[in-house]
Amino acid sequence: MTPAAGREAVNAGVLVCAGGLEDSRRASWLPTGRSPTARARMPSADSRSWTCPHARRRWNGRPRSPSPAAACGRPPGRGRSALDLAAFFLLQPGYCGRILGVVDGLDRGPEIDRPVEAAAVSEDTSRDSETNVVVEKRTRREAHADLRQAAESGWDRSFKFDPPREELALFRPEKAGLNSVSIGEAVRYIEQNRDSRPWLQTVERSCPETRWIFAAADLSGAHWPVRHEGWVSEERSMRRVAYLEDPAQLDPDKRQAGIDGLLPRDRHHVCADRSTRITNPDACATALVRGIRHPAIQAALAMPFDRKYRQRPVWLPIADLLGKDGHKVCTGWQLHPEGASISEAMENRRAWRTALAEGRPSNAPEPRALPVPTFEGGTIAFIISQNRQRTGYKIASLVPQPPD
Amino acid sequence: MNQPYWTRYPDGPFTTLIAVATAYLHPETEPDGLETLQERAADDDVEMRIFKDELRHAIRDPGLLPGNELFRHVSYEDGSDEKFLRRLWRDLYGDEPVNPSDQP
Repeated sequence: MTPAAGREAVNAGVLVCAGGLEDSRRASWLPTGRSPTARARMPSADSRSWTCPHARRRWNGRPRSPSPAAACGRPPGRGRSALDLAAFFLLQPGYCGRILGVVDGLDRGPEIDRPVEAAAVSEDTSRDSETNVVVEKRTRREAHADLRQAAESGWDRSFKFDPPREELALFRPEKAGLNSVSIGEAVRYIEQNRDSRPWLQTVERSCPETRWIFAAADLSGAHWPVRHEGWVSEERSMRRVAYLEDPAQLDPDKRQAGIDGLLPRDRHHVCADRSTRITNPDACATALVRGIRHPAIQAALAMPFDRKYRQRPVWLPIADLLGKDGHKVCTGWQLHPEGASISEAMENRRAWRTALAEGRPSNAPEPRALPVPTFEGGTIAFIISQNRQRTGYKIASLVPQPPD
Repeated sequence: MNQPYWTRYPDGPFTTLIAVATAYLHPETEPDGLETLQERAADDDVEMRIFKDELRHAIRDPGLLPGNELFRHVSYEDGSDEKFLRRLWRDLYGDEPVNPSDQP
C-alpha cells in the first residue's frame, strides 16, 4: 500500500495498520476520525466508494460484521489497499450499515451518532425508551479508540474491580487534604451537579463509598476525577496527548482549540508525553485511600504550608495499591516519537498546535499516539498541591505511569 | 524506574535540579509553577542556591545530566535538555550570565 493510499484510507475513516503484518514493528496509528486539520476532500472521478449510494450514509453503529480491513487492525488483503477493500464492501447491497469503522470522510455530522440497534446489551448500550431497542451509545470514534486500546494493550473492558468497601468506609477526606463531606452531602452534590460536571455521572454506578470520595475530591478541586479516571474515554485520552485537547473542557470548540478546561482566561492546555487513566472509579478511590496511608504521602500532607513551596510527587507501585491485577484497570496513550526523540515530538506537537490556533500551515507533522503497552510493574504518581484554602496540601491528582 | 530520580539517587548528580524542576514544572502540577519558582529563585534559600548551581553546570555541559532523567521527570516541550535549561535560566534569572566570570 502506498503512503498516499494509506493516507486516503485514513481520511476516509478506514483503520489502517501502517506497518502491516509483514512489518515486525508495532503499528503506529493516527488518531481516530477527523483530525482538527482535516479538510473536506472532493471525491476523485474514479473513486468507486463515492459513487456508492450508501457512501454518504452515516455509520449506524452495528458491530456485527466488521470489515477485514477495519477496526481489528489487520492490514487489508494481499495486494489490495484498505480503500479498495472499503470500496468493495461498500458496494455490496445492505453491507454499508454493517461495517464497523468505515465511514464517509465527508461526514460532518455531530459527534454523537443517531442511536441505532446494537448487537447485544453491554455497558455501551442503552434501551431506547420509545422503541425498546438496545442502542449503541458510543460514537464511532470512541468505539475505534476502545478497540485500538484493547487490540494493542490487551485492555479488557469487562475486567471487574472488587472495591474494598470496608477500607473505603474508613476514609477521611481531610486526611487527603480534601474537603470534609458526609455521605448524604456527597449524594446531593452528585445529584445537583451531574449535568454541569458530567464526570460525576461515572460514579453513579459505583459503591456509595466511592461516590463519597469522588464528591469530596471534586469539591476540593482535585483534577483526577476529570482527567485521570473512568469518565475520560479512550478517545479523549488519546486526543489529549496527540492534540492537547483537554477532557475537562466541556465546550467542544474550545476543546478542539486546545483551551484548558480548568484554568481561567482561556489558557492553553498542557500535557506530558502520555495521557493515562484509571478506568474504574472504585479502583481510583481505592488507590487514593491506600495511598494516603503511605508515610511519604502523610509526611507531604502534614508539611507546614508555604505558599511558594511545591511538593515533589510521590510514586507508589500499582500492585501495592490495587493488587497484582491492578494494572488491568490502567490505560494510557503515548505520543509517537516519529523517528525522533520524545522530547522533540513534544516540541513538534506544540508547534503544530500553535500553528493550528493561528490558522496557518504547520511545518511540524500532525502528532500521533500509541496505546501504552502495559502498566504491569508501573506506579501511580500522587501529585500533591495546595488546598483551595491555601492552608495546607491535598492530593490533587493520581497519574498512572507504566514501567520504564 | 519505579521511583523518582531523587529517591533512587538522593546524593546523585543534579538531584536538586531534577526534583525542583519536576515539582514546579511538570504538566500535572499546578499551572502557576513557573511563576512560583521565579519567586523562590528571588528568595535565594539553600535549596535554590543548590538548584541554581546545578542548573548552571547542566547548561555548561548537558552531557553530564543523567541519561534521560530530566525529560522523563519534567516532560518539557522545549525539544532538548539544553533548550529547556537555557529557557529556564532566562525565565528565572533573566539576563544574568550563566558563567559568573562573564559578569561585567
